[in-house]
This record gives sequence, C-alpha cells and structure tokens, in this order.
Amino acid sequence: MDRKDFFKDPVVHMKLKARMTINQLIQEFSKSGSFGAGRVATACDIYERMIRDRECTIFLALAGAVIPAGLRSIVADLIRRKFVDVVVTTGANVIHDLLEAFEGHHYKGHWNANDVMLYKYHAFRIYDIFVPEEDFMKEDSKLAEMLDDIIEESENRVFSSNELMMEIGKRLNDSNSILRAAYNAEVPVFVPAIRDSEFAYIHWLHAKRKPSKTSLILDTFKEVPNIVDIATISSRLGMIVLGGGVPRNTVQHSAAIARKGIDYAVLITMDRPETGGLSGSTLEEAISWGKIKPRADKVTVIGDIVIVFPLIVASLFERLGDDFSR
Amino acid sequence: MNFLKKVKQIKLRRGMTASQLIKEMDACGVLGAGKMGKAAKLIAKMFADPDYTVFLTLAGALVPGGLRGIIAELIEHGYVNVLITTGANMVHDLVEALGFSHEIGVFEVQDEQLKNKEIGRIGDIYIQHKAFQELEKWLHHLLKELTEQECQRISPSSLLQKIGTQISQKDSILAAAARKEVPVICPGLPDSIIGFQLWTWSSSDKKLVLDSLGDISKLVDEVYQARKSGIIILGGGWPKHFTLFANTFREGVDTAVQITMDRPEPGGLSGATLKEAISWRKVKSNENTATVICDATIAFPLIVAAVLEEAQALREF
Repeated sequence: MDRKDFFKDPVVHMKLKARMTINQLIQEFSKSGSFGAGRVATACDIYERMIRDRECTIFLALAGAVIPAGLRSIVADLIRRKFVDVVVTTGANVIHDLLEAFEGHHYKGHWNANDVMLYKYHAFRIYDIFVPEEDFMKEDSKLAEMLDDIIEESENRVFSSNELMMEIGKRLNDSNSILRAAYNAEVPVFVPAIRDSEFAYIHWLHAKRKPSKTSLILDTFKEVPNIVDIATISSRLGMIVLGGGVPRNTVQHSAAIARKGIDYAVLITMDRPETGGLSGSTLEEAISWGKIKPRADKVTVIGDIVIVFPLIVASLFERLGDDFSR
Repeated sequence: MNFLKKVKQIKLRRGMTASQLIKEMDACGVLGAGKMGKAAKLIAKMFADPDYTVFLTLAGALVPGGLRGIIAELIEHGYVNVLITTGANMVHDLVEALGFSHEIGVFEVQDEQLKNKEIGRIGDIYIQHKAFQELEKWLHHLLKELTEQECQRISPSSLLQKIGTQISQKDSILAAAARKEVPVICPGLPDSIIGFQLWTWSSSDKKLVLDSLGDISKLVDEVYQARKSGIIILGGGWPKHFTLFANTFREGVDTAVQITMDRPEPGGLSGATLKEAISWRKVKSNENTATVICDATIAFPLIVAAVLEEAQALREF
C-alpha cells in the first residue's frame, strides 16, 4: 500500500440547512465519513443494500427496552414493508408490545425518581419510563384468556416460541403491534429466551389453575430447526442488531450452524468488547466463529438505539420511497 | 403525584425533516430520544432569546470529525457568542485553512505502517504529518509580525483572534470568530501543536509571554455581561470545567446541554452530571438541562439541523 492510498477520501465538513430532510443529513454524515456520523451513514448504506438484495433474508435482533422506548411502530412498519424478514427478540420486548396492544401504556418518567415511592404506588421504572402495575395485570389476564383459546383450538399441540407468537398475533387487532404486523406479513418472531419474561409467570399462574393436560406446552428446542432452515435456504443473510444479548447470538449462531455466515451486518450497541460478553463483542470476532463472512458488508455504530435507529430508518424510507416493496 | 404521561411511539415518514424527527423523539419523551428532544428545545430557546450569551465548549476530535463548518456557521450567524475550545481543535481548523484535509480511514490499520508513511491517525481519520509542518512554518511567519508589545504579553484568545484575521477561507472557525469578534477562549493552548510551536519559537527568536490568565478575565467578563447564560458542551474536558466554573460568578448557567459518551461513575468532570454541577453553583436548576449520551458527531448535527429549521422564522440562517 502506497502512502497516497491513505489519502484518497478527505473528510468533508458537514453543512446544515434549514428544513433539510433526514436523508440529506445522512448524506452530510457520509461526507464527513468519520466517527459516529460516518458509521451511521455506512449503516444506512448497508441496510439499503440488504433491502435491495431480494435474495437476502433480513434478521432483526431486538434486545433491551426498545419497545417501551418508542420504537414499536417503527419495527411494525419495517415488518409490514418486509424490510425485516425474521424477528428474534426477548420475551420482555414482546410483553411490552402486548401491553400496548391491550391498551396499556408506557409513561414518561424520570431516571432520578424516588424508587421507594414508585414501589408504594405500584409503578415500575425502566430508566425514565414508568409502567403502572395494573396495566401488567390487565395484560396477564388477557394473555391468560388468549392462552385458553389457543389451547382449545389446538389440542395437545407442542408449540415453538415462533408458533405461539403467530397464534397471539392472529388474535390481536392493534395494527401498530409488532406481533400483529408479523402475523399479517408472515414474518416469524422467535423468542428464544421466552422463559425469562412475564410470559413464564403468566403461564405458570395459568397452568396452576388447570389440569395438566390442558395447559400450554412450549418446547424451546422446537424452533431451532425452524430458524436454521431459514438460514440454510436463504441465498444471503442480513442482520440488524439493536442491543445484543440472546437475540444477537441466536441469529449469528443460526447462520454458523447453517454453514452460511452472515453477508450483511449492522450492529447498534453501547456495550463494550473488553469484558468478552457477546453483546459488546466486535463483528470481526464473529468472523472467527464462522458467524459472519470474512468479506461481509458490516458496520458497528456505538450509540443509543433510540437515537440512532430512527435516523437510519427515516433515511431509508426516504431513499426507497413509499412504493418500494420487497 | 401523577406519574403518568404516555410515551408516544415514534412514527417515521418518507422525506421527513430533521425537525420533524426531533419532534417525534420529543413526543416519545424517554431514554435517548427524549434527551434529544429536550436538548433541541433548550438549544432553540437559547438561540431565539437575544438575552442569552451562548457558550459553546469543544473537546475531543470534533473538527477532524466533520463539525468544523457547522461550528463556523453557528458563529457566523450569531448563535454562539463565546467559544471555549481545546488547542487541538483549532490546530485542525488551521490545517484545513491551509488547504490540507482530514482523510477517511479505518480503525483497524497497522499503525506502524502509518508511522513509516508519516501519517497520524485519530480514530478512523488520517492526516499527514506534513500538514502540521506546514502549519508550523505558517505560524512562524505570523509570529514574526507580532509587535514587541504583543510579545510581552498576549492571551491565547487574542493570539487566536490575530490568527483568525489572517485566514481567508470561509469555512474556518477562527476566521468566523475573528470576523464576528467572538472570543475563542483557550487557556490550554500550550497543550497543542500551536503551543509547542510557540515554545520553540519563543526560545529562539523573540521572547513571547503567553498569558493564560488573560483568558480568564475575558471569559469572566462575558459571564458578568450575560443577561442569561447558556452552555452547550460537546465532549467535556477542561473547556467544560472552565466555562462552568466561570459561571459560578453568576450563580450558574440558566440553561445547559451536554453531549458526551463519558460516564459519571469515575467522578471525572467530563462525565459528571449537570445535576452534580448544581451543588457547585455551576448550573442553576436541573429543569433547564439535558445530557445526551451519544457520539457528538451524530447527535449535534441532528439537533442543530432541527433547531435551524425552527429558527428560520426568527433569524435567517
């Protein structure tokens, strides 16, 4: 490599204009091309290439409190437009989707709130979001009724998490719900760690009141061939990671098991690689495991998902227009 | 006490503007998005109210990272009244003014190889060492023009203003500041290439006394004259501390916005919360503050684009 090869692409300082659109702003990020701004612009380009590649199956891995924090409609829109083909998420994100589907709400609060007072008032806190306990209780009873209905309709069936999500989605009538949008678009929603959420306790309470034959049976291994099959039959694999955790690992691992490796990857996280945990690990590290292809089109954005992801999606909506379908 | 104020899920639309997205984030109202919404509202308030003296503090590689033009324009159009910056940011403003550029690179590069090719790296940005050598020559000429009296005692801000008047390039921060007589406060100037150049020059040619305390008087004067005081903190470091400290002479700033990736736990100033600053009389109340935990090269352009969109009715940008 010659010295001049290092100086091919100068940083062009961003120019702002009044009434500029989000994609125009992203273009300015791209001209800067450095630090967080450069990475956000690259993430937009990679996601656009993923969407335009109709042979690519796009996995969305969701962890962290992204649904309580306002990304619910955005994710539902992405599913509706098939900008996401498979969702892998935590039980908690689904629970918070359902809480709103059953007319519960998340409320603006404060990170510095008096937690002892919140405890007395039966209000739960997720950083600066408050959730009233009664909204959870309403969800618990509605979901328990739904489980009754699902069991009645499918005698002795053993469910995988994605099958259960489809059954629930079918029974919702909130168009902004992620599960409803996924049902309509036939986008599978995998919840590999479903047991670590309100789902488990609702099921436990529900099952206690029933004879054992008529309680819901969920087999957490049943979904494994489903997700690996999707990876195996796809020509190319794309991955958008919001946060990290179990969802990120499930997507990456499925790609490795399918002996494919991921072709396009966008990772948005605040986690660090030094502790060796999966959430903060670099995409390069995943190459050594065969989870990501050595020449994959990939970028990591170190940033708060609630700030970065709406910017990226707004830019894509603008680039692709309303009529683009997949 | 009513705890219940609904979170509104963010809605995106094709071709939406920066301000429309920020409004969605503000209506969402929580986590990073809520902080962005609040930060934009506070900055809009400072920009719209002529009573505000707006202090902008810069630390970290913001000028190499693409924010140079934005900062210059904010100064040019009178939105920023006092700039408090590290020396390095002004060094990088100057090398671009001399016609050099920062180049887009990658983090994962052989740094030995860069060293052999005389290239310096800042994250994923490259710059050739030659740029700094040329800057040194240019500065040498400029310093020669200083009068005897100036050499006896010159504050960093006076020197930077003098440098600014010598630059013709439109996008330069120092040129804009010199034109608009916006003080560029930089008592930490010795900790930069300019500083080391001043040192070598002053020990060989003429004696030069850089009066860092002079910048304190200038900053405190601005603080005393401010009817209302507002601060925008990008990064942290001593520019943040210096400006907040100066504002203790008026019992704290009225409005404060900071964008940082630093954390409060180690107790360092850069990551310290604005709430903590209340205890020091650096900030008046928590209500008019916002801390956005984000890379400033992402968050600041988005906020400024949104604010300018709204500000257009007030002052043409």
